[in-house]
Amino acid sequence: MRDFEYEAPTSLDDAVALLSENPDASRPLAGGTDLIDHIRTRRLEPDLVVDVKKIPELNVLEITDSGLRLGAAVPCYRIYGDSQIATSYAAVADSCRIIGGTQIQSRASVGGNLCNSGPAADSIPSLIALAARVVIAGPGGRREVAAEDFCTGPGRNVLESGELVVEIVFPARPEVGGSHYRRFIPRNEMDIAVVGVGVDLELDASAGRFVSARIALAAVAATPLFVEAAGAALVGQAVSDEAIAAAAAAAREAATPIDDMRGTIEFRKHLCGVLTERVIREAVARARGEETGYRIGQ
Amino acid sequence: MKRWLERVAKRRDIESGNEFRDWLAVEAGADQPGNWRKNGYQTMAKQRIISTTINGNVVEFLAAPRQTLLEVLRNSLDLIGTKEGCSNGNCGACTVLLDGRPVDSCLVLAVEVEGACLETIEGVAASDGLHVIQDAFLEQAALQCGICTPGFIMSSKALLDENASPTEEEIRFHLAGNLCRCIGYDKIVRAVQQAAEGETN
Repeated sequence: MRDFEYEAPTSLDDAVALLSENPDASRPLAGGTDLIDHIRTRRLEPDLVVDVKKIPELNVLEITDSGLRLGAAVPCYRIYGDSQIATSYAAVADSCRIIGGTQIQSRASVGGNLCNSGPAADSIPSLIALAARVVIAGPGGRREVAAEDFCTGPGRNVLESGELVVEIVFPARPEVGGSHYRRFIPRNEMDIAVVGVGVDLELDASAGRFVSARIALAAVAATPLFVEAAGAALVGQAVSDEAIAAAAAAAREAATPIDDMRGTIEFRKHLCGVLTERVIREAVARARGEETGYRIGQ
Repeated sequence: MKRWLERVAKRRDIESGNEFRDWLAVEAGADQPGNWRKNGYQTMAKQRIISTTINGNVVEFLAAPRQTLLEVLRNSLDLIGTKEGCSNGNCGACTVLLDGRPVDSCLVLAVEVEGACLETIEGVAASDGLHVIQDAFLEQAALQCGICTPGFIMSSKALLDENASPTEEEIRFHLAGNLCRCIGYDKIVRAVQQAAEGETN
């Protein structure tokens, strides 16, 4: 592998200072499951790799009154291994369970998945659906960006020179709510999404009507796609086949996929509708506390 | 000039553990960070002494930042039971346990394991015989060429350490990050099931 220097600062200020010295030739390292492979294949050629796993803020994982704080370097297994998060912020746990295999999940972080900004990233639709905000630190101080505004193109995002993601913060959960992410792949596991759909729903006290809904898609545009119209099709409606079909139609309509080895435009648009329906039904069932049939690989 | 170069080179040798590369780099004027770009020479990043526990023994080794854990295990520490397959985190042949968690050692930098506790295939068998998982792999004929086997055994061990009686589906999903191109997976799954029964009994 190409030569580079390595630093493992224990404070955020030190990390920002290191990354700012020569920002174009520096890269933060969290789980490394993408970065190390990119350096090996020379897609990236950093002179300095800054390991951010020893910084306390980037390892925070806690649910407070104001919501969930997810440190950017927290590996996937810690997320789905936390039963409270797996229940309350289920879509994120769904994503983390299907990113790579067990070995990858031991290392890979949601922060890293976000910063790689792949159009098919499995965690980003969940972040968008759950109205997460991305906390960024850099030489100019701190700022926050909504998850849906973070990615700007394949592999590109709003991070500026010397900036890194510190944590991802999620609002507190509603009384009656449910979220879910699933994707279509031709295998059962270890594959890149042909289409992925994340949804978060709030239902009224009787769990019969949609109060709010956010739906996001993966692998059907240059960035993970927030489809406001699909959520809007549900808001105020009774939970019904018609409302769910209208949301699915809006998702299908918003998708602008490409043809590639994983699927054609027609197939991907079709999948958007099918998966959106299934994901909404699963999230409704979760909001109602019903036993659900979802298993990975379906 | 030559004496100065010798002095610099000697100091750098002591600091970095590197020898000839730094000589060349210094001669090319690359003793200042970044100069190698201008001069077309690359100084080697500093090697460090990394201290870890491997299979219960405290081990110290020298590693440059660019070396993966897999490289160091195989090339520096002679722990060649861990295999190199794809080198990009798909095949799981290089699986080791890092603080109890299965990881692809090709996607871990050696310098990242400072202070960590590692377990490799060499540490699985007891002094008086094979581990129950190893016995099960033999009895179920769960290998052919054997390159994937150390990775499968490490992944299986991580699973059984966490979940003593996994279902077949849990075994298959847990082992999804390990590829076998010879025998397929049924015999491996049966071996893990047998090992789980053996451990429970």
